[in-house]
Amino acid sequence: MKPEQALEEARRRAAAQSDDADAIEGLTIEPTDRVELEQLIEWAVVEADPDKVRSTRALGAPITALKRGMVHLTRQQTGDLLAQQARFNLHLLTRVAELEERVKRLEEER
Amino acid sequence: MLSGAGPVDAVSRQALAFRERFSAWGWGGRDVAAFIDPRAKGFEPLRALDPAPGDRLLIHYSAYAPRLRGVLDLPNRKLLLSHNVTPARWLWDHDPPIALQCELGRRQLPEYAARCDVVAGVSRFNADELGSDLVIPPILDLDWVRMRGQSPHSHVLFVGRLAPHKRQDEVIRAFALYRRRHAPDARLVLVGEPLNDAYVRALRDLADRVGGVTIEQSLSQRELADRYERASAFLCLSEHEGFCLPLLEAFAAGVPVIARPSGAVPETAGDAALLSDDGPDVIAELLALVHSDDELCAELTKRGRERLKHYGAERAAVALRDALS
Repeated sequence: MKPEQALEEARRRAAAQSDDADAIEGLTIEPTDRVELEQLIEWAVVEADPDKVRSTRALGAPITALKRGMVHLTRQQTGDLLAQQARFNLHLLTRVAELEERVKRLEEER
Repeated sequence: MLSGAGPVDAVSRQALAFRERFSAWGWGGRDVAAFIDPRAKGFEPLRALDPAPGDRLLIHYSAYAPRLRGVLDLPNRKLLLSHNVTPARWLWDHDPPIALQCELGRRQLPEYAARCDVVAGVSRFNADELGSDLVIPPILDLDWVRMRGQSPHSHVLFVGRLAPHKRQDEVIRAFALYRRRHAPDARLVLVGEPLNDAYVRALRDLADRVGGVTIEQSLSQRELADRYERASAFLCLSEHEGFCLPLLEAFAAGVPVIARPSGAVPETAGDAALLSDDGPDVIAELLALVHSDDELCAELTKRGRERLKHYGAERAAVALRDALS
């Protein structure tokens, strides 16, 4: 078979099969094109993942421990910063949602 | 100049290949990066950059690089070489900081290009994005790749960063169907550096459900050559590629290639790969065909060898020299 014929043949053979790859559960990648408001609200409240505080060096265990210790010691300040950022994010989102609703209403009235 | 230098990424390898050429031509200079992975060798920090008035600056653009902005103000002649930046839409759900960097990087790229004297891409796809017609392809050294041997079982291989846009999830699903329908002893090997731990965990979880899948990272060149030697098919379902060097590595190993025609893939592969945008069920049948049809496999191997001639190192070196002259 020539390469130019392979795709049509594969499609023909696939059509004759009955099983489906979608039946395999687990990771399925979808691009993020249009982010819904609920998703934005979830993202607005910033939460740092402590597992990501680590060293990537070959013998980085002591550096990881040091970094995590520093995160722990500065948690009051970082917690306050995160709370301030979340407050701003959520209020901004609320305004955007109100504006979205208002535009929708005006468009309906026209 | 690079935004980031790493131990195994294609951009850093290109910068070092360019450096070999510059040295061979009797040119001086140095390679600097805004961020240097401790495992990367041959790069100096960006602050080491101190160009003389007549020096030329080559910017390898592959990621958001705010610290390179100061370089644009220098009076030297500048060449920007775009390796492309992954669209953030593939990354927001999996690594927001990286997604943000990609988003900013893609927004910043046209501005950087406008402020450089010469703009080029490593592929026509990359050059077109910036309105340029200048292509400087990678200078390839594929001597380390060994020809594939004969294996009693099917060994499907994909080499590329373990990241969402590379769609290893779909590779695993297509492989699962192929294994179930045609080759219960088949193996799939995914090689690449992980985006992050959580993504690799999710990928491993999916792989465990299917069976026969191995995920490997931080391989040496010798180990990677071994994976190509054992491979009976190379499967790339990536959604975005600025060039896709592993396709050429597979050609060099004589491994038949099946790939999604995204980004620069059709341009890089030419007629030497089976290109399909179909779902896993069709890809599974393409895998079955390349493993069962000797004529198809031999023709793809032959075309792969021919395609490599298009990417001769000397041709690329001439394009590089012309662009910098």
